[in-house]
Amino acid sequence: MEKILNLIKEDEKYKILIDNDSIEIVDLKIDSQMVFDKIYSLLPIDDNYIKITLKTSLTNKEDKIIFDQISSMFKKIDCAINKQIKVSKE
Amino acid sequence: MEKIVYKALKADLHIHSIYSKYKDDLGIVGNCSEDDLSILVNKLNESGVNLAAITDHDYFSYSMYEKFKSFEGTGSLIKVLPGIEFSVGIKNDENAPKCIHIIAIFDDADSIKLKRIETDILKLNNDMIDYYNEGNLYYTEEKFISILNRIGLNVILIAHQKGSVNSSTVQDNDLNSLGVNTFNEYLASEVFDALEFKSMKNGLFNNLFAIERNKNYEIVRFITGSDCHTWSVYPKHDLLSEDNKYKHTFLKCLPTFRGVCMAITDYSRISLSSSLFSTDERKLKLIDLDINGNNYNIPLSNGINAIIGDNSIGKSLLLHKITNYEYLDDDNIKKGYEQYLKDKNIKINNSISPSMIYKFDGQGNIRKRFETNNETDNQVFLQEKFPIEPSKDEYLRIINEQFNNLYSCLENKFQYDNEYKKLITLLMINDSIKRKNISVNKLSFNRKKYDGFVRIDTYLNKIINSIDDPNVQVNNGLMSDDVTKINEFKNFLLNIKKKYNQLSKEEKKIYNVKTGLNSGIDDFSTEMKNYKDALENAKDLFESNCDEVADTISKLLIYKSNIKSFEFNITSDINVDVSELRYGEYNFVRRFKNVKTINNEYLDSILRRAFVSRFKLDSTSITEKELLDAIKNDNKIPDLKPLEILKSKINNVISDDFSVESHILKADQEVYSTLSNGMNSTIYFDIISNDNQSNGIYFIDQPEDDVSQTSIKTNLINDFKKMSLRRQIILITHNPQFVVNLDVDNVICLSKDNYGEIVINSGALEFQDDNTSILNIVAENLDGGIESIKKRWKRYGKNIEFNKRR
Repeated sequence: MEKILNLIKEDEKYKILIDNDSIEIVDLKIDSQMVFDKIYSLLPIDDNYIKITLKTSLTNKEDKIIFDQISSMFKKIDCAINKQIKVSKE
Repeated sequence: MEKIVYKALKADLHIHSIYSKYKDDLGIVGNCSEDDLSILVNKLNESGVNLAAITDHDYFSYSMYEKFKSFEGTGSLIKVLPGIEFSVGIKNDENAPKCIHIIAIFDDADSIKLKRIETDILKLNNDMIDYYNEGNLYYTEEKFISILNRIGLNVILIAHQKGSVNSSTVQDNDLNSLGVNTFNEYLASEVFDALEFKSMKNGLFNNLFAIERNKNYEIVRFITGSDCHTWSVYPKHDLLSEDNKYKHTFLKCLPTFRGVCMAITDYSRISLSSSLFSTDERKLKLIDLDINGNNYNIPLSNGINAIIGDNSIGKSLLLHKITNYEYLDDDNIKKGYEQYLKDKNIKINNSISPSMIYKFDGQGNIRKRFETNNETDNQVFLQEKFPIEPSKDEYLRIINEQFNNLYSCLENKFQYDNEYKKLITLLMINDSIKRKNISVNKLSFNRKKYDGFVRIDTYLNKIINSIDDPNVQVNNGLMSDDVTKINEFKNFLLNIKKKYNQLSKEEKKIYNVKTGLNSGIDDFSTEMKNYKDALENAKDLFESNCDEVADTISKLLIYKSNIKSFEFNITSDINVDVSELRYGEYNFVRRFKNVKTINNEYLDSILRRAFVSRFKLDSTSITEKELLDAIKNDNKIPDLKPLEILKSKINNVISDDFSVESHILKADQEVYSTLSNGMNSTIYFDIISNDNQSNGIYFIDQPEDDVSQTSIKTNLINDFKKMSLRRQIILITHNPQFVVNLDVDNVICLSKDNYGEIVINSGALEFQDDNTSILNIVAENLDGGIESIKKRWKRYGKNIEFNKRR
């Protein structure tokens, strides 16, 4: 399964939209406990694979920089999760 | 013939022949004539039968008996006894006669009397049995007794009780067809020496009935009889019989009428198994001694051997000598014994080591022991009787497995918590700062110009310094106009110098400003450079933090997936073993202090005892801190982690629960301390008679000295009978109850002949030959012996002649 997360900007604050929930980024800080909690809630119960993809419609160069960092973070997490799922399934 | 019983006799005292044709269908007994006896004997030998009787209905054929008897000693068949199956009308509960079948086995000692049965007593009338009973095909009770009296032989009576006594269907001719009251009356009055059954199942029910209904169940004795009517299918009843499960009865007796009589009248001599004694190898087979050069090899029974005889004849000496005086502390007595042996010219040639001996209770030892009633002695005695502790290993394995699951669950939760704390806040960088970075070039400075002004100043100074004071040159003729002009020229030069000095200063000022600015630019550049490094570092840090977060999340996934609400999961109750050893009515118990059943409730109770009250463990939410607070606050070890403290606490609870406690229960009541503080000989014998933990021979010298007559009758006789199933007993007694009622397996009598010389006679109670009758010897040598034997020998027509010597 694949989960699409969205990076948006509201009132000059970045937010990652996850289904009906969101992670707010304050002062360029992102709370990884919150990230874990949200990500864990997304994990499939039976499927042995998940793809977490961050998208954004923000085009500003500055926003792009933020997006790149968060996207990079999710890629790492995605990789770790799937590796762990694979290990634990085996 | 052997003097004592070494082997149980396999018996069948209920076989029919063709002479049952007057009552039964000739078709089933037609091939059971005297000429067919070899068929029967072969079948008996195939079955290993040692003792048999043909018991036809209300008829006795001497010739059949005689011919059958001629087969004694062929194969397994050792002894044939004469017998008849009588049909007797006995009044039932409603006072109406009911036909019962009674097997009568006669003493075979008097063949003339036996012959007379056929010729004078049970004569046929027109080839029919005459019952003298108004056409009824059975004798009246009175006629039956009259017939027995006329026969005049000792007789064993066995009532027909083939069916189960408590079955709802009562079989014809069975004793219980008379009704419950009459049946019980006959049992209690011991009119019959035994009851006969056929199938194992009925035998079991009959014995259970006897035990339940008659607490003194030894008065009821059951034996099996094949009731075979067709010899070719022995032990089946006839050709149509399907039952293949017939089990013969084994009798512990010598192969004589007297032996059978004594066996049939003592429940402990009757068995469905051939095993008579324990298989313990620690037994003394014989006592080998010489008296005045005459050698006596006294065979010893594997059961109970009673040594009787006059006081001071050497009975105790015999016990001490064959046990090498191991149990005799008094040297003077020992010397006295040795002197006696010497004086009487007695040599005892064999002995046994202490390892063969279970216990040796010398004369008066027991009385002495219970007079002092030392608590320590009692405890030592009692502690030896406890069973080994129940094994807890398997239970602990199961319990630890459950708790290890709990510990794993908690450990996982705590690891999760610790990992979760590692999830830090990630700081991203806004990289635009870098892109707005100001690059400042240093100011250039033309030094050449400044250097030129410095060189002009030097040049002008050189010129000015080279112009001497013109006023000095006046003396040399310089004219005042020229002096003026020179001074004017010098001033001119000074003015030029001043101009260039000013220009130089201006250049210098510009240099200083530019140098300062460049220094500032340098500082700025350095600052800018550092700022760029911090960004890179922040960027790197973010990346590495992301790696760590990813790694942590990866671990958390596993921990989180393993967080679960823990419950113990033993699916069915496990009952915990209790080690018990029953010694009569005393139950020696070793059990765990606080655990009877291992189940989830028990495991929860362990947890409850480890935690403070009302704490409810939730393995999905508990933190290490909460766990520490929940553990009962006694002896917490500060350096240990909470989970380790919990483990230690739980191990202590389990260890305490599984500590072993010892109890002695009598009728489910604890009597350990009571017994420790006050034992008596009855309890002592109760306990040791039931001891099947330790092997070896039991020696006891005059047990009657320490116990009342009543207690001997009500307790000790049974105690010794029970003990004899487990070990060889060698006892010395003057009490006939310990010989006759105990029904000892071997009597060894030490007496003096007319010349004062010691003579020894021995044998089973029933043993008799031309010179010796053990019953006679018992009667002669024990006070009250005759009365005891008469009580024991009280059946219909059983007579014994005594020649009481004193």
